[in-house]
Amino acid sequence: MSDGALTCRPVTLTHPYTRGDNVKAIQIALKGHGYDFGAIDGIYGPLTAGAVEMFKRYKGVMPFNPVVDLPIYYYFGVRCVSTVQLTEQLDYNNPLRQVIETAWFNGKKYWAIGPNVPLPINPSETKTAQEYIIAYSVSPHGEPDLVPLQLNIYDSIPGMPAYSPMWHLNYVIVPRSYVPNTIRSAAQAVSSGYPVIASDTYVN
Amino acid sequence: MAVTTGPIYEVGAQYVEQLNYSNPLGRPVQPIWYVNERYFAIDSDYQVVWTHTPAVPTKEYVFYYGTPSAPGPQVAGQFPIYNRIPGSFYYYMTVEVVEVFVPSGYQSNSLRSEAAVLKSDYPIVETGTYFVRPVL
Repeated sequence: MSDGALTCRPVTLTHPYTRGDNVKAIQIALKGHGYDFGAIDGIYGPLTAGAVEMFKRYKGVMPFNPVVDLPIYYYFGVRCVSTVQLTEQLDYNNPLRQVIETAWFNGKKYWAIGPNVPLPINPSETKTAQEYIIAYSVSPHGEPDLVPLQLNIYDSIPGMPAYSPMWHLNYVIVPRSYVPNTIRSAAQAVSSGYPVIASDTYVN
Repeated sequence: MAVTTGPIYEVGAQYVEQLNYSNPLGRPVQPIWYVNERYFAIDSDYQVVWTHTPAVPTKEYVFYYGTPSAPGPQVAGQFPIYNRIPGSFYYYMTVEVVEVFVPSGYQSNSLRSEAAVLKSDYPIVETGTYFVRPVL
């Protein structure tokens, strides 16, 4: 999880009321969408819950209730990190507590160990595979403005001739209207019509 | 949610008692030694050529009979020795292969740490070749 990002923890009306940064982020988003429920106090009370329900009715997001979960965070534009979809197939107790990345390959999720630190490799003498990162933009210094919730995309996995554990990063530049995880394969990324910027960064 | 149950391996005791890894893609996994404890690493042949060689590489000691000038076969049953694992300073999953040459009477796995290798006075050759072999 990066620099203090919220986890996409579901929030709803409870007794006692739920409090915290997630609630504050939801309230700020509601204010931004024009809903008036009182002060931004980080407390998920009946007024905030009512505003959430009205927001969901206005957007047509069912069920019309005060539950804020992953898709509602996305509708709000609140950046948070999902932790709910990480254990569908891989059974790994990760004894040394390494960073695990979830990524798409051909529409399916896979996992990789990797700090993703840029490495000074010689790409002409080291076999590399292609990794696609979906971003809104890339700064002149190479810093991407990442699409929240979007997983990175691999062009190959172990067992394929094209696979290598050394990844060449490519940025796919999408508009703000892009729905995260619409693109789930390298073929989709390349044929999407969005600009693809090949970086000079290699990671593993 | 389909959770697979894979093989259970013993792992260095100072962290956890076992490794549970379903190895969904069937990667080759080999035991290694690190400071007398057994861990596991993915044994891959993906070689890395650097533009700038790491100043402090992670090393994998591999054992052969013979001498550097007359190398023999690899020591059967001897697990490679790593000098770092995830969490160590300067650990990286790209390891430099270091060859250790032992006499014919060497009993496999009698050396289990980098310190023991360096203390043994057996000839050592840093090969300058690097492979991606992540510790699990």
